[in-house]
Amino acid sequence: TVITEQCPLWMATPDQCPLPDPYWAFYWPGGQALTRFILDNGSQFRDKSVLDFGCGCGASTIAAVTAGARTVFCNDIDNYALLATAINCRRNNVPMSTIEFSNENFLLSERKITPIPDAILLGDMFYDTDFAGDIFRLLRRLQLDKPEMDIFVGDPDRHPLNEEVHRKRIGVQFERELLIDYPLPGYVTREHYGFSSAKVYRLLFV
Amino acid sequence: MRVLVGVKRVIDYAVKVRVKADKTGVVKDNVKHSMNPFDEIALEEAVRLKEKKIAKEVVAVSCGPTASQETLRTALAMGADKAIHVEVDAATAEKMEPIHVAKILAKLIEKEKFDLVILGKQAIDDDANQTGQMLAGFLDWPQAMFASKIEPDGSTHLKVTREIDGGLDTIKVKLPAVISADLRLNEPRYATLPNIMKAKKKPLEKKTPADFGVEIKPQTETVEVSDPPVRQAGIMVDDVQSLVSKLREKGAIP
Repeated sequence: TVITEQCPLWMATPDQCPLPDPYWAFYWPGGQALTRFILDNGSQFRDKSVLDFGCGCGASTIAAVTAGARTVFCNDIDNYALLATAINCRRNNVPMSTIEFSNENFLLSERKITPIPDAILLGDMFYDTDFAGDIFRLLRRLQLDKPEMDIFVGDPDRHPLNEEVHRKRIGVQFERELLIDYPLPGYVTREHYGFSSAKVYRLLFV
Repeated sequence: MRVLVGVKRVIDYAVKVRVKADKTGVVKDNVKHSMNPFDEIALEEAVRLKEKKIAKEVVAVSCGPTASQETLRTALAMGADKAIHVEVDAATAEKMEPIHVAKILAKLIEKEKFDLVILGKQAIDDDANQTGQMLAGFLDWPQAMFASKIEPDGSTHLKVTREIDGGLDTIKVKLPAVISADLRLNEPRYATLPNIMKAKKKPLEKKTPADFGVEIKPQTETVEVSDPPVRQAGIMVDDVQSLVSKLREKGAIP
C-alpha cells in the first residue's frame, strides 16, 4: 500500500488527494536506508525493544520484527499509517504478535514513552526544521533518562539534519555518527527528486 | 558546485492572452499562471546535475510579486534545495525589467558564491532574452546561451552545445558561468505528490530589491499594447496571367 508511478494519485496535488498528508503512502528514501540497515545488521536489534517513531508505511517496523526484535512499538499520529503498516505486514507474511500499535502524539501529549526502548527508529523524519526541533528535544529527554538508548536515523541529506545553519537554528546539541551511506537505486531517485544517497546515523544527545 | 536557477511566474503558455481594453497591457486577473517553460527546463537541468553529483546544491530564485512564491514551491517540489523570493509589490512587478533582475542576481551571486547560473533563455511574456546576457556582463563571467546540451569538461569547465540560427555551436566555458536553457535541453519532470509534500518545508527566504541595493527604475515605457492585426484573407487566382496582373495591380511588380 504505497502510491507509486502507476497510481493516478502520483500526479495529484495535495488538495486532490482524498486522504490528508499521506506520508504513509510513500516509501521515503530515508526510511529505505534505515530499513536496509536493520535487515543487514539484525544482530543489533535481536531481542531488543524497538520504537518506530513515525512508522509511515511500516517498513522499519517490518525490518525490526524480521530481525528478531523482542517488541516493536509502532507509533504514528496518523491512523492510516498504522493501518498501512498492518496491511504491509500481512502482505509480507510478517507476524504482528510482537508489535504494539499506537497513534499517540508524544510530541504534544503529557503521556510519556514508557518503558523507554532499547532502540528508537526515525526513517526520513527530518524534513521540517521546527518539527525536527520538537523531535530532538524529545529524543534528548529520552536519552537523558536512558543513556544506553540507541537512536537510529535514516536520512537522504535533507536540510534540517544536513546543514549546519539549520542545526544551529534548531538549537539542540547532538552528535551524529555515520553508520553507512547507501547510494540510491535509479527507481528511488526517479521518484524522490534531488537525492543520490541516503545515510543511516546514530544520534547522541548526551 | 552550487547552482542558481532563476524562475519567473508568467501567464501559462496554453492561455489565450487577451489585451486589456485600455491597451496598457494584457489581462492577468483570474488568468492561470505557471513557471516560465524555459525556466522549468533550466531547473530540470540543475536538478539532474545534482542527481549526477556534479552539483551539490540547487537554489531557485524569483523576482516578483507575492504569488511568485507558488512558482518557487514548484521549483522546490521539482528538486531545488532552497528558494529565495525577491519580493516586489504588484505595481513594481509590472515595470520590472531584465536589467533589474540581472542586477539583483549579480548582487546575490556576489554575496552567496554560486558556481553556475542557469536561466530560461527568455520569458514567454516579454520574450526579452536579456537577463542571462546582462547578468554575465555584470559578473564578467563567460556565458553560453540557448543551451541544448550541457556536459562537464573536467572539474573546471563545461562543454555546452548551443542552438543557433545556422545549426549547433559547441563551446567550452570556464566556471563560474551563466547558461540559458533552450527548448531541447531536456524534458522537465512533473512535481509529484511526495515531492510536493516534503517541499512545503524546504527553506524559502524572503528578500527585497533594496536588500541588494537595487532600485526598480524602468528604462522603458510601454506606450501601447494591441492585438496583432487580423490576418487578411488571401485571394485565389486561376492562372499565372491572373497572378501577374494581380501583383502588378498591388504594385508588387512594375
